[in-house]
Amino acid sequence: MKISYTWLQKYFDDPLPHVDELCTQITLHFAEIDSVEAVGGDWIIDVKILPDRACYALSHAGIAHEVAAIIRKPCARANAFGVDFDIATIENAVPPYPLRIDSPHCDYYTATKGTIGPIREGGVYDEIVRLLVSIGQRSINPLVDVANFVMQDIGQPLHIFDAGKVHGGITVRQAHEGEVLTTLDKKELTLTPEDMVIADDTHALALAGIKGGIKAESSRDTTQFILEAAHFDAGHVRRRSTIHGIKTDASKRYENAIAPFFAQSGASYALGLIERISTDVRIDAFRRVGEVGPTTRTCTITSRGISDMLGIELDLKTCTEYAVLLGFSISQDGDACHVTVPSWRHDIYREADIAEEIGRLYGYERIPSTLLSESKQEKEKNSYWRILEAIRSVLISRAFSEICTYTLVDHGEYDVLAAPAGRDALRTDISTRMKEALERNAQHADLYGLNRIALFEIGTVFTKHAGEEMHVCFGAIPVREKMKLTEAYVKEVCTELERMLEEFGIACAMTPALQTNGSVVIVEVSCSSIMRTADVEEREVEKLNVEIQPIRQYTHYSPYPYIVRDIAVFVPQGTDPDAITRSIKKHGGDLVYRHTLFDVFEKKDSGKTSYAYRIVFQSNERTLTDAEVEDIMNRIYADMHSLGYEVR
Amino acid sequence: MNIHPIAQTIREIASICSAFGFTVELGPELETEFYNFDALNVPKDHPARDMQDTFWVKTPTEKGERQLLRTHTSSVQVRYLETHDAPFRILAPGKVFRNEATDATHDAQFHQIEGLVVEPEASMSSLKGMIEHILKSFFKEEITIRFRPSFFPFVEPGVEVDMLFKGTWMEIMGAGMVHEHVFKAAGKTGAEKGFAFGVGVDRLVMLKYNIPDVRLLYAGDIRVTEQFA
Repeated sequence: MKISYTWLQKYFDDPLPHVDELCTQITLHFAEIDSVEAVGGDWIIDVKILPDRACYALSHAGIAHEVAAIIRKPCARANAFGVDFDIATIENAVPPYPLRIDSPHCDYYTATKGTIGPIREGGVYDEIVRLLVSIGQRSINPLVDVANFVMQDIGQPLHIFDAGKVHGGITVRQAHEGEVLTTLDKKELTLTPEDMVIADDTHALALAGIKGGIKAESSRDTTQFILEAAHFDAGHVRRRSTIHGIKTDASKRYENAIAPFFAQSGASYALGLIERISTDVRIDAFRRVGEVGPTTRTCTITSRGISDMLGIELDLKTCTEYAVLLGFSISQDGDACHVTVPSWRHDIYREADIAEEIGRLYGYERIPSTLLSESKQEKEKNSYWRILEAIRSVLISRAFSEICTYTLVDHGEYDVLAAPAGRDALRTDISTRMKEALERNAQHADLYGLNRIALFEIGTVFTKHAGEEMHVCFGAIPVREKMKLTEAYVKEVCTELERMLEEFGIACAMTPALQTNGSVVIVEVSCSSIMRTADVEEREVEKLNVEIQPIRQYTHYSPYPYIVRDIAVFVPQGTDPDAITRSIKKHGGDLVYRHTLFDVFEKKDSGKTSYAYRIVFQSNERTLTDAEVEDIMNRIYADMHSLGYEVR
Repeated sequence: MNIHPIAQTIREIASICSAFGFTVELGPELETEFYNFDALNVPKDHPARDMQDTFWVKTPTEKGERQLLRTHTSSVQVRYLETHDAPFRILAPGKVFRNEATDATHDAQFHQIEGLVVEPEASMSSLKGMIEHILKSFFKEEITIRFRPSFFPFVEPGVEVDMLFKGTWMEIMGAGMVHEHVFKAAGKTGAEKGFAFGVGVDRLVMLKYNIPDVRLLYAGDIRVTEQFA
């Protein structure tokens, strides 16, 4: 909710804290602040109002009352302009307006017919427009601007009809099948009896609670108006607003259950403002239909209950002090206290809700940290998770590296609605992505001096016949010849897994669905039977005291291609190959990503040993050229010659 | 050879919490509307449903219930409460899904760990202590946290937890006292006392290991996994 600092200030006679201090206080005691912007001489603060407080805080008044509780200074007035008018006082002094409610989704409606004269120059209207524009609203015409201002100020949505375009009276009814309504922004809606409309004797004039129609639209020339201030069912407004794809400031407030109570004060405030901005204002007719309902609600708290929930000792007196700060009234009843809150606070029904009000005003920073008692147990019960972790450990010890791929893929047995194309089905296996990963990664093997890419994933797959299942998938692709994963090795791994599972009391044959596609070998096994037995086995296992191997900080890999060169050098037997690596580092410098010794060979009867290195060149900034690399290699060769070593 | 940093992090947190008797429980990723929303006090037609973008699955269950990919690990809370009596302390790690635009800090799938403690000792104070302890032990340094008033339908009071990291306050997890509605949905009386927290594992991983883009965690790329050797 965007609010203006100067607008907020109008609620207080004393100056508010500086905007930075105010924002800090709001953040610590009420709500998150999305942004603060200096605009003209004002600050526009975007306060994030969440669904629980949207029933009362989507307004300057609601936020002002919160600020009042936080800074411990009461609001000096109930609305920004201190308008004190109550429409109920004129109810019997004017003719009744023809109004009927024929819809189950509207339980309260007020219609005021009035006349507006010329706008007073340089007065309240200019200020109203300025404040509206400051929070990003458009000025449309004086009547609509007042209606919009009232909504932004106290939260109640209002609607203005041009009385000259309304025939007969107003009925709140369901739409007829196929009834057409053209909205204020010229969108044509075809309605059904599911929709609720505000209508006159001949036409639908507005989609109730959501959007006005163009038929009875007001303009700068409107002199006679009908002011709507009503209450519409929150669920209904939300459903219809979603179906028509129309979301407005008004529909947002209705769907967050702004209380019927505000309709009357909204109408009163608007009429009071109209009187201030214009001469010759008259109220010609008025009617209200329906019930506002109870205006308060009571819930009971005890200091024990509040203290236990917050974890601090608060006496009843302190609890009630905070309740009073928030504008609630209290009455003590022995050890308990009845807290009466306005019925429009839909976030307060129980003691836990009051505990939150007290806790946040008291200040969560003042709540100390305490630790739960430690557990004395040395062993813990067997569990499905522990077993999956044991499987993970086995595979890691067998030199498979763990990956985690996407569940949402382009093809599967379960379709996902409204998902991006290519990511709109649930995967039925892990093997498909595993194969892609292995093949894709083979090209990077040299960067890490790997002879084989060996990966695994433990994750869920989804099939119609088995539902959701946890699968273990591991596989490998050789980079060097003869490094293909053998069936024997796969069997070894599976046997190890089976033995490990036996220790957990699980009999599970890890019969692999072995896939071989050329040199790629993949195994995928379901863990369903493990899951079914795991939690049933009442075995005890050692507490998880995982030897956490510390892992390094991540440095991002270079996006540029690498170049590989091999060099093999004969050195006299017994000589350290140091000189070779020193030369590589000296001439390659930062451009050498890795050098790996991959072969040592004693030439018979020669007194020489051959050391072969694979050098991987890569830059973080650019693509290296063959010429650059040749140049570095030539310098290394030159070094070798000067040392008397033979390059093979 | 190398463990994935997400699995590593889950193990670390489980290990930190095991000294306090937490066990680790798992729940389904393909969840029903009831466990993901209604049981957690997020009714249909309520604006609270807008707080998360959901991946709805086309086929309903055999019983005709709507299915979705769970949007949080909180769905495990009611499942566990239904079949277990207090007192208990559990962690529930796992994959969760949000139908959001993807970028360096958001992906359609990510991992969370849920913590749920139901016992008389549970309070906002012991909640603060537990969260501080976990973060301190995980980042291996003294950390400062703060609670900010916020809202999640399944806790009351509800807070966002910020952590002071490298000089800036950053949002690290949501937490609060378990809402009465959640207990009742699980067949309990509603007079129980508990606290819960939910933390994004990917976030923790990115902060601790200095990873610039969350999508790197799901790329299946050895240029990422080999970094952690």
